[in-house]
Amino acid sequence: MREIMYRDALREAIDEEMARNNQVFIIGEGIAERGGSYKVTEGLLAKYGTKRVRDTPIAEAGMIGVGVGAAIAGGRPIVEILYVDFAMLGMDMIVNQAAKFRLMTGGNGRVPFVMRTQGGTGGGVAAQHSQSLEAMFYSVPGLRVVMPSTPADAKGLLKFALRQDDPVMFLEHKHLYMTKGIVPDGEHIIEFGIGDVKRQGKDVTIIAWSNMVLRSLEAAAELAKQGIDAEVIDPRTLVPLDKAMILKSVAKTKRAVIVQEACRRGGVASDIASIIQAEAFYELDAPVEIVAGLDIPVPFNLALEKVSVPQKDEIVAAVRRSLHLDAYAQAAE
Amino acid sequence: MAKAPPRENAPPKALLEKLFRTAYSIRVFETEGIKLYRQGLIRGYFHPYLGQEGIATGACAALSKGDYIASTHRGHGHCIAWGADIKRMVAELLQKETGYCRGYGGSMHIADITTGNLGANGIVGAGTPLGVGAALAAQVRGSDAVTVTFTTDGATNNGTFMESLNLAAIWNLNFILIIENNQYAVSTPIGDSTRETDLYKRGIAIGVESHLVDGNDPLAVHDLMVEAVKKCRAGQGPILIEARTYRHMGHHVNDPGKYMPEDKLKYYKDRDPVDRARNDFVEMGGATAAEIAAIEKQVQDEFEEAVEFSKNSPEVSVEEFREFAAVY
Amino acid sequence: MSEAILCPQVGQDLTEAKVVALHVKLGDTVKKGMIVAEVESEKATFEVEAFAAGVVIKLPYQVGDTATVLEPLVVLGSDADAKASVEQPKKAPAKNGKAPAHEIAVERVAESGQGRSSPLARRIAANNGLEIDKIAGTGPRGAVVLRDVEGLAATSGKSAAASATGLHVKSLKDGKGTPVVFIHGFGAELAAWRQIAMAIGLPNTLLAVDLPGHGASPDAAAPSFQSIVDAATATLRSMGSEFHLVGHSLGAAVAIALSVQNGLTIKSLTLFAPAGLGTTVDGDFVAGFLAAKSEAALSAQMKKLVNDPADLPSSMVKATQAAREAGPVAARQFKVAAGLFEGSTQLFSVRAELAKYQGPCRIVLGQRDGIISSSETNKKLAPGVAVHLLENAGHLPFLEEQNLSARLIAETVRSSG
Repeated sequence: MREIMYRDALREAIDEEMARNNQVFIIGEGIAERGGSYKVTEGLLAKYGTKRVRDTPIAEAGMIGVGVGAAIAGGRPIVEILYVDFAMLGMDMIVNQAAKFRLMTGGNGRVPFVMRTQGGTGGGVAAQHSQSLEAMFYSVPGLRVVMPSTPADAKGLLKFALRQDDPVMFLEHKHLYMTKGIVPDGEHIIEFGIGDVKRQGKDVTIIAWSNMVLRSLEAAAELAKQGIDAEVIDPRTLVPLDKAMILKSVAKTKRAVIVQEACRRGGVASDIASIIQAEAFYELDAPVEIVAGLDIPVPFNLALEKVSVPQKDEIVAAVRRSLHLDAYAQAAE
Repeated sequence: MAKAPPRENAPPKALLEKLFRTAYSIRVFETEGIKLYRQGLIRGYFHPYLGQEGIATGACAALSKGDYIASTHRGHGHCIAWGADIKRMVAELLQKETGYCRGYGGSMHIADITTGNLGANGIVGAGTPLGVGAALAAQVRGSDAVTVTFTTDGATNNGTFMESLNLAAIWNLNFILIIENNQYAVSTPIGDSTRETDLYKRGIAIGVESHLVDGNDPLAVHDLMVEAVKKCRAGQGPILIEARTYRHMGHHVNDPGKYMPEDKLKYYKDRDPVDRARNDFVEMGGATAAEIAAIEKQVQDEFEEAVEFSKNSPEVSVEEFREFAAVY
Repeated sequence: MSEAILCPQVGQDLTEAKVVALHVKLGDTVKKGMIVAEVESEKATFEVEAFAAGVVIKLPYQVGDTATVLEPLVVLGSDADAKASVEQPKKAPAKNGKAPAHEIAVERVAESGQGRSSPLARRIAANNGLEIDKIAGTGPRGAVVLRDVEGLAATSGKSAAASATGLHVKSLKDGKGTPVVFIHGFGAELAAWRQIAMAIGLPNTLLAVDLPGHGASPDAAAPSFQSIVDAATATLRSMGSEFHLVGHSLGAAVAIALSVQNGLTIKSLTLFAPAGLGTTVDGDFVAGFLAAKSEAALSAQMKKLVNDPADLPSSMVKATQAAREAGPVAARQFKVAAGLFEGSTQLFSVRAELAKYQGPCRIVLGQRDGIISSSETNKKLAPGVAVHLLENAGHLPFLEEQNLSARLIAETVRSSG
């Protein structure tokens, strides 16, 4: 067990898989010589050479398309896209090609393609570099959507991504690269579709992913001071989604608060809420709460940026609502 | 229009026979397929390759096992030239379990990754980055396989055309991009889509060896491709080829193509690639009328058998589809 | 065997095409590959080719008709078919009229007019035979939520709040603050309070106790009112010191007696048809009730408890009968009764104790009470005691006027501050 940074955990995963399978290669902007904007790929060029670690021009649609084509033809490409915002340039390749190929070939063709990118707000990088776009990928059948919140999850999930055969949207968060966490020694692989309970609790279930897991844990600590014991669960992969974990936790606590950094409208949280109401309706003692970003492009101004995405206090307030604490105060007068 | 490079020797009869048989097979597939469409046996979209047979025929004849092709929405011809099983193609169009894609793909999505066919594509221009990707995977693997993407004049104004050809160039990939310039993007004539209608010149701009060839001359396409494949395998790829041609009808089976000028259509129909292949086989290969008739009968019989096979094939299973859906 | 040549698909979304030429007529022999007709769509004219050979036996459309795509345009048969059935062409069928609108019987959901409730609370209520709309909610805008039903549900597991020793006590609803303890009347048991407990909008824990010789409690130490009060006092002391009390009949008298016990602070009293304030009781009822063997006899006796016999829940009669069949209930209660009543005389009085009580006290009486006279009870009460005389109620006002009674209990409890 070692405590390492998220970005180091990612590098370990890539390094180990490149050593293990010589079909694994990585392309992206500034990832070879420079080692990547977040230093995830530092040192890989020296170790694996220009054939397997390649810098690309700024051509996201082309890069993503080439990655998808390589995957179809038996390669194991990792395409690093600097910001998830830029992945929008390659949406045809992701949505119409990568996601569809397996079905269009009647199951004969597979696309073991991994797109690594990062999203979320991060200290005033403004509207075109701050988005949380997982819902776009989530709504396209055929894609796997992975959003690790800890170094250990990042490593284990990336290693699994490089060993399975479907296109993976591996969505990191710019706030997380420098966060530290314990990562097991040796081979550490986490299968998709298995969520993780980040904090055990009995009073309410908080469902969050990526950076919002950290924020939810802060909220849970605050709630503990108020005598409220929150359970924080992290699905880790949105597709496939560990429904069983969610439903089990909600059945225990009877209340669900879903936290997402992405905007409220059309989000993954809404879908999880619909799953809970459909499959755990008679377990619910309160409406499912969603704490989400505002339905607005993220502004540059740091104070406004903060308002645009969920903060700890909003999570705390939602939990209290779900426990009818405020409503109780009214009834007692 | 560039002429085929002069041959020192007459082409082998086997090659000429192959070119004719392929071009004729495509012709029969499309004309008979349209009839099946009209009678409701084929549903959905159907983009005939009629008039363009020379390109797929010539190009695929220059490739080897282990190579890759990527195709377009007008993809039946590439499939057939690549050696696909007509039975499984027809079965796919008839939505049957025995089709190449179990009826899940249809006309625009026939692919067979086991033979290196990356597939037709419903998105104009998408085959180019996919083909470059296959070439990249081959290079990483240390293979000398060549990937050919057939694309269209309509796709050359799409961003991924330049993006991916440029990637192939900076990485010296074994990649050949063939622009089938049929001079229409759906119904918009090429002169309305671009100021420079010599599309091969786009490759020159980014340092890619580029050629223009008569797409209605299967032998010329073949000979140019032989050279291009040789160069690629020698590490001198990628190569861009513009093959000029013309459709015999509108964009798809329900487009009468009223916008295609009659004189121009006549010009190209007079230079029909299937007739060209037949004549080459007769004139250069010495084929007799009986040999020609025998091949034509074989091809027609093969198609009819494929229709019978498909009609008698099992329907797709909804239950299996639901199981399949569970993976999503 | 016939084969149909269909009106061709000539557009992705077109459903019909105009027949512009028919190159065959009935009885004609058609060869494969022959052009048999031409149809026109929005865009162009299409030739229709025979894909099979045969004799034309049907021509459903004439030139000029609009044909439906993929419906037969020319039907081919053998020679025999042709002779057997040469049909005249018919006019193209009129365009399909709109199908009659599918009538859907929409059943109006009856508006309950009642409060809200969480799905979980509804499930628990349903599983425990509780009527959700009779339960007072403490959730948002009065919604019944988990905490409101937890204690009510016999199966909820949390409900077994019992005294460590002494009498059987059950939580009707878990809550917080000073508990409200319900004490039943002679011959009843704590279950009598279940219905009204659901209707009481209080956040407090609601407890109910079985008196000695009743329900799940042991027999009294001696056949006297004092022994009952002593047992109740011990039980309450084992659970705490402050309580609100709600009592019925004998239970109301016990409640009054408890209010003067050392070590207990009774914050409020709500008394339904209390005993111990007058001197008489319907001795025939006591005797008849205890002697009844059949459900019919029991029902006849118990109907005396209420003004309108319809207000007596048959479930109450059935439960009493079932309890008697299951154990020596009547014999035990007979012993209790011996210490309380002699014929039609009550052997005990709590008038003095009530006079001492300083907290909020409310007495609810049924004007038509045939067991204990309401007018006898309602004499010379201290001015601080609020009396509600219910015109149409008998001896069970908390059942006969449940919602009002629930409100009165809640008000009394709240008025204690």
